[in-house]
Amino acid sequence: MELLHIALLLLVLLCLLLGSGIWIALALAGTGYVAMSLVNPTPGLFLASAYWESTGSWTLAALPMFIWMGEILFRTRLSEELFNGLAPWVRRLPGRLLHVNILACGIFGSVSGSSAATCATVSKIALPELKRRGYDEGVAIGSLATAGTLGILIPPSIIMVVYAVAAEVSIVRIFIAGVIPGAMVMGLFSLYIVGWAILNPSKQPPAEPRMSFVAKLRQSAQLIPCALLIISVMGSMFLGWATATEAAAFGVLGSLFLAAVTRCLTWRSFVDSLAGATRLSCMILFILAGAAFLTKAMALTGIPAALAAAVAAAELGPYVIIAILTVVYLILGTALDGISMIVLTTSVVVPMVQHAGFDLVWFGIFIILLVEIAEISPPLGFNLFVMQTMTGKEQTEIAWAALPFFAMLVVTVVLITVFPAIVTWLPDYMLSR
Amino acid sequence: MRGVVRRALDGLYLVSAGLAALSLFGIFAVMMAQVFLRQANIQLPGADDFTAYLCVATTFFALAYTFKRGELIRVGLFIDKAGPGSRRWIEMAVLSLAALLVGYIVYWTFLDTLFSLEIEEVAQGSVPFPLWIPKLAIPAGSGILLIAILDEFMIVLRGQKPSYVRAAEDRAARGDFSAEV
Repeated sequence: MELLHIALLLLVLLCLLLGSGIWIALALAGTGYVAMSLVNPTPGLFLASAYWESTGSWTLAALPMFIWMGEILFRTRLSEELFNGLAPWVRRLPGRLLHVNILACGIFGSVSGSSAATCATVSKIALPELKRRGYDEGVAIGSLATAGTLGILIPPSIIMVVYAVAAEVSIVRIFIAGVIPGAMVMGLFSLYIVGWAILNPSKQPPAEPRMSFVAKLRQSAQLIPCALLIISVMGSMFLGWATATEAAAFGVLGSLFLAAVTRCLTWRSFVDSLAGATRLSCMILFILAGAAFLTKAMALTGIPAALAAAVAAAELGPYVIIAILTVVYLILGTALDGISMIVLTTSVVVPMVQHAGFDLVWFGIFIILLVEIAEISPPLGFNLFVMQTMTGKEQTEIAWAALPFFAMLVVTVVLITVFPAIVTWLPDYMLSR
Repeated sequence: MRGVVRRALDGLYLVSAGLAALSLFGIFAVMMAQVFLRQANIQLPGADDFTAYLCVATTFFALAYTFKRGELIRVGLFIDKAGPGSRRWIEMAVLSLAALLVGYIVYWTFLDTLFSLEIEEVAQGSVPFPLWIPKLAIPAGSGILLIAILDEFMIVLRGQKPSYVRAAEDRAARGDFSAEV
């Protein structure tokens, strides 16, 4: 019983600290300090080693590299070109240019790795354009708000690197695992748009003139170098030619080259991208350091092991555990950002999940899908807030518009839970060769 | 006088952040050098360890500047809803607690660094780097963060809006979400 009291005390303390508005990295360290003090007279020694070991890691160097790659491409004309380059290819599908939202968010998300930035950047171009051509505003807003969250599911994703480091799984493995679920979510979104367009023919804008294949190619020609860059970065990793860190560094080189060729690389944009990458890396790594200390402290108190044993003894069955975790994460998601959600849970949940027999890579994709859902859940979903600023509409209106797409994400969570092979098959296949 | 102190402090944060940015660039440079030298069958000794050290420097030297710009995240759920009067007290309480925690981090990581220096601890890899040098980045960077936190405390004490709040509001007003993940 003693342990249960300690666990509750720590949980309350963590909630208080987080709620007080203290910086998350420090709230984690503070809770770690209290947890450690209960079992050890010198928490400081553990703190120093946790901070040093967690930030000084060669694997982790992939994180700043991927962030920098995104920051460089973010400052090129990529976002403007995406809309025009993709538009010709979807004109014949029911729903037409609305599919561009999904594709553009998927592609932009894979380079930027941030949901909010993806949502804001693609919306800035797509919203006025779709409105001008007479598309239904509700579906346009809903699809952009939700597809913006694809940034974290489609590799290379910053959140995936954070999870991989925190849960000690292979970065490459979780990247590969994200491919099929990512494609599936995009497919489901597009499927909804097709269905909606067929059911609501009155809300469709007039058809646009036909284009020849060559004209289409010409319009999307600028996208090809960027597509090649992403494919080669991911490909070199997936085929085992380069480690994640090396591939990320190559991604930076390729992005710099691309930016230079398209004349987007000035001294100013170079410094801006480097500074932006430094700040974002610093923020994430400082949280990781705090979380590493908390994880160490929790392990010493024996709470995660006891919890795992208790869950195992209760014989809940995998679906019940997953259902409970889903609820917990959705509640967490109302207050916390994705990175904090992930690092917080790895200290307590991962031992339990592992004990219950779940694959940790599968679990990573599962949490990431829940983070996506949390980002579009009212009242505090961050992407809803972004769309609010972009459109000036009420949050409830945006949440309603996003609801069908929200449902598609829930469908994906159910599907990967019932058929875990959707996540695990591709990495097993690619890495076993 | 106040102007001089202000400029000196801002300069300190900026120089420290510059060091962090250089470290991030260094990770890239080392990785590239390693890959291209490998083509010529030359191993770059200690490159992996060195990359890890640069990662530490990137994290800790950028802290103060990132904090000042409001890009270290926190849960603003309740604090944003507080009235201006009570908000000032909450900010001061939060800043004091943050100063205590960061002070604790500085103290213990500094002791750890000194210990590494004393026992002449070196890296296990192919190049025996003395570990106290990269370790020093943690107390140094956190120390500058501590200064920045006290700096903000003084700003709030004088009744002004903290810089990190102002910077975050400016970004939101511009529709700039690049600092969010």
